[in-house]
Amino acid sequence: MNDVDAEQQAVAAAAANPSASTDRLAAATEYLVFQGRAALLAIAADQIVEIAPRAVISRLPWPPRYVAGVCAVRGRVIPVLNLDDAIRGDMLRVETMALPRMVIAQFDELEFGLLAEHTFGLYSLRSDELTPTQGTLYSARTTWRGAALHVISAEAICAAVRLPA
Amino acid sequence: MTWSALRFFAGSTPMAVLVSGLAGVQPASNEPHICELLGWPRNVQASEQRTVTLQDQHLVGSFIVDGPVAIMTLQPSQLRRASILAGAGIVAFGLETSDGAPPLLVLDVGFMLQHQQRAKQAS
Repeated sequence: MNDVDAEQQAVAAAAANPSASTDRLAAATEYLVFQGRAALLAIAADQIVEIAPRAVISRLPWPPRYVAGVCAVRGRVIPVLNLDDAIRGDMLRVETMALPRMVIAQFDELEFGLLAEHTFGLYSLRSDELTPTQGTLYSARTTWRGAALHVISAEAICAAVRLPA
Repeated sequence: MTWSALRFFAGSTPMAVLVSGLAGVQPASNEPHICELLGWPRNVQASEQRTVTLQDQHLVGSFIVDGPVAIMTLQPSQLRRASILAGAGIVAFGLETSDGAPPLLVLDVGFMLQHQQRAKQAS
């Protein structure tokens, strides 16, 4: 069976069972995939506000866990998170602070920046491709282009950084 | 309405305290450095250091800050309220006019003095 036949069969199957097709579409979500210092990360596209060049970061006194500091972006003051440390479990590293750009995301009216080396673009990931994880800042993980990809949970981040360090 | 503040540095981080919490500024002596109080590494190359004395009701405390030290005015349009993510010890952020400048951390004088007192008692 060639590709055209397979596609026609898939279209016919979808037409015969429209609810199944809808379920499959509903389970797919767009994610921004980007490279942190030590890990490949993804965040749901609907939580992204913008991607901006990294501004100068001010260190904070007694910061919550994972908060590297704050920076000013066009009149807003945004906390910048260091998720590489959450993966590695080690202390803040200067190399991470030097990453050139920030993915700015928002959840529950809380805006925050994630340091990024490189952004790959928007990719659709189906829920059945993801392995749920618990107790971390990541809601799931999967393999993407042969590498481990961590899906960031903005909800978990907001909950974690609101707790005392 | 504008606020007057004393602007200084803790290492390379720009900071300010509102003058309402300021009790004095003197040449630097042997008080602890503000970086020690905040748990940060100290910038040993800093110049123009001063001893800053803060007061909040009955609490008084002094520490060394890095220069340049100057009085500045803060407009409400320059200030952003510190979010819960900013942690403790900050009441607001000041935005400077130059592009790419880091936010100015406006210190919570009462919190700083309480923290300093707790640190003294613990040592």
